Amino acid sequence: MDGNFDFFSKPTMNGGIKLPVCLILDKSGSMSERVRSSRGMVVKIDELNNNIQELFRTIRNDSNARLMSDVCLIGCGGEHPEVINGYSSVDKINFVPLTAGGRTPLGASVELALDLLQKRREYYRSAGIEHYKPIMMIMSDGQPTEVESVVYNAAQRCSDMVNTEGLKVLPIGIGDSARLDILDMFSPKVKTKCITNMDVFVKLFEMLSVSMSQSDNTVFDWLNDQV
Amino acid sequence: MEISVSKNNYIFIEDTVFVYPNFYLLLKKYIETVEANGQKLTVFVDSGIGERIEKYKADLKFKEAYLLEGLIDILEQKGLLQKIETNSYLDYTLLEAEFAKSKKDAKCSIITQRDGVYNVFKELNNSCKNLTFYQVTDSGFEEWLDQAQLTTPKDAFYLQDDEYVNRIDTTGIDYVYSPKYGYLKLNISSQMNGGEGSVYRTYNNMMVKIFKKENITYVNFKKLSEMIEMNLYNPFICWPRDLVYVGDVFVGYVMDEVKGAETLLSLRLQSFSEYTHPERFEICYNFLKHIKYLHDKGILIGDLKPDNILVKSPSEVYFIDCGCYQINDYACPVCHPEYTKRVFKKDELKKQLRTVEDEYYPINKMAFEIMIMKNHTYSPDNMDIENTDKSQFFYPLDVDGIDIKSEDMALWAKFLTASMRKYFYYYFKQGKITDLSEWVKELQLFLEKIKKEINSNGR
Repeated sequence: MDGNFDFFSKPTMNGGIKLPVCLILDKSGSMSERVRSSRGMVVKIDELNNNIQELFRTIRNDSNARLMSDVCLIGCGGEHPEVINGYSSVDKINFVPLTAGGRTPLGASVELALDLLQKRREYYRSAGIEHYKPIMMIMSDGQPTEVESVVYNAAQRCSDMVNTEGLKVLPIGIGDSARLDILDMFSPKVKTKCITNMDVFVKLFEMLSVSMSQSDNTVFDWLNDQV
Repeated sequence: MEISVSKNNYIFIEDTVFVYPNFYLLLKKYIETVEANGQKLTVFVDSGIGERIEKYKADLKFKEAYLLEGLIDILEQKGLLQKIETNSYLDYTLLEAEFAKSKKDAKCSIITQRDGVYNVFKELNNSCKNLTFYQVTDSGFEEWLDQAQLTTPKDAFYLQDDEYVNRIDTTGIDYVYSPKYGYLKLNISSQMNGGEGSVYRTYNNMMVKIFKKENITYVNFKKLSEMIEMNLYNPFICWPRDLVYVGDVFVGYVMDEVKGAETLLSLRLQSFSEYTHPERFEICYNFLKHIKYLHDKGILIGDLKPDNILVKSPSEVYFIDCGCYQINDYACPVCHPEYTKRVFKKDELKKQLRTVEDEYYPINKMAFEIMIMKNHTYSPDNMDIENTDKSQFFYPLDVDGIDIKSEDMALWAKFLTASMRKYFYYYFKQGKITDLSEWVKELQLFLEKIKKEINSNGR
């Protein structure tokens, strides 16, 4: 203090630590199709809704994950991507189940997610908040409906961020029609996991919640073991 | 043995050497030998030696204080003494320059009792060819042997395809048997899952850890048996108390429960909002004191991370999940990448023991996080906790006139003592370790000073 500083109060700093997680969720028309699971045939969008709700429940019940998680939801459907929920604590998210419909603007959805992430990082910086590397889960069951250059540019920007250690991408293809080659373009380090059985989908969300609780690579390790 | 002498002699003496029993006799004899032969002698000591004398006095160790003071006075009166800045034995640059000025036939020696000092200063061997390190023992001076155990990993007790006889699937177990405590009912609703298994509440403020089937191994059985035989009792270390069985199959162990406490991780996520700055420093003091207690017994924590430390109050800091600690040649097989400096390959942690040096990374990192409330790699331009460059350190050693714009920098520059800044700076920038004993002593005096100030100001 050398001993002479008036510092006997409680800390005033905001700070803490955040783990930004962005989920890009396919809600295009094809998500209303059925796929198999151990419970019989189930509708993809219903499974997605259930698992997101379960993920939020798990995080709310885990004190560390609840404090750390900073979650953003992007809907990839209709004509344009939609911010379902900007970055916030799970306590503040009132999740309304998604309905499937429209096209798959994947490139634009990723661009939107990256823009939001950039803004969030600026906010962290201005507020002195430390953070783990952001996780971005890109989920799609089909192929993008945009012109090729839009998808390519978004994939390039996303890959650049991954390669400069700014982002961890979790690419997930749902069902047999998912274009894994296109999803791979967004993820230079982790290969796309194709999920054709919804039981694995449940496991994916379980692993994601572990990663969000322990701020580790559990979900990525699990994914690598699966591929 | 005796220290060999030549026409010109340069000797650096670390302060704890002076208070070693009978060192003054060895020093007297050495000086007499040099003087009798008409040879030259310069004795270097750290410029902070006066502070060390004051610390002894503050610690009521007057014998040591006056012995050190007296010997320094004698050396000064004889014109042999030269004080030199080493930044609490973390920086040998000025000493290196003095040695470099010496003549070719000069004899350079360093006497120290401390591993940490030896490990920092041994790099001088690269630039100073005629340098010898000594330590004092009951039989006189002895040349330092490289303390390999501090830095070189040893093999652990490891078995390929290790399976305990009759291991069973432990899911759904609700009763276990402990030879010491009898049958224990597991409170299933209290289940907490971890990497190795699950932990449950049971009777009498105790917890039971049940391993997953794959972790019911012979190595775990042997290790936990030895831990229980050690019968270590420290109320703040939740040491394994007994093995537990289902039938005659070993499945886990029983330990004390800590109630009403929060993990260090949880506190950090909330920026320690319930604690004042002095209280946080007290948490750090107790955290380091308990690690020192374990190290003094030859035990390494291994998987040292904020999730495994519980805080009930500033003076009640508990260590949990002790069953995986490294004892004897039993390794701690788990790690958290954020709190590990070395990158371990798969299974390496099972086959190889960690070194004391390995443990100092999470020690320094967590101490910094408690005191400054930031990751040590934090800077206004880089707030990424998963920074891969673990030696990145933004906080300056020289804080005179710096522009303080944030609370963390204010804590660093105005609240930490100069010694604490040095300890962190040299560790993170250059990997130079300050012994836990030094850290504990520094924090103890710091807290006493703060308490006096609080009392005198009636806060």
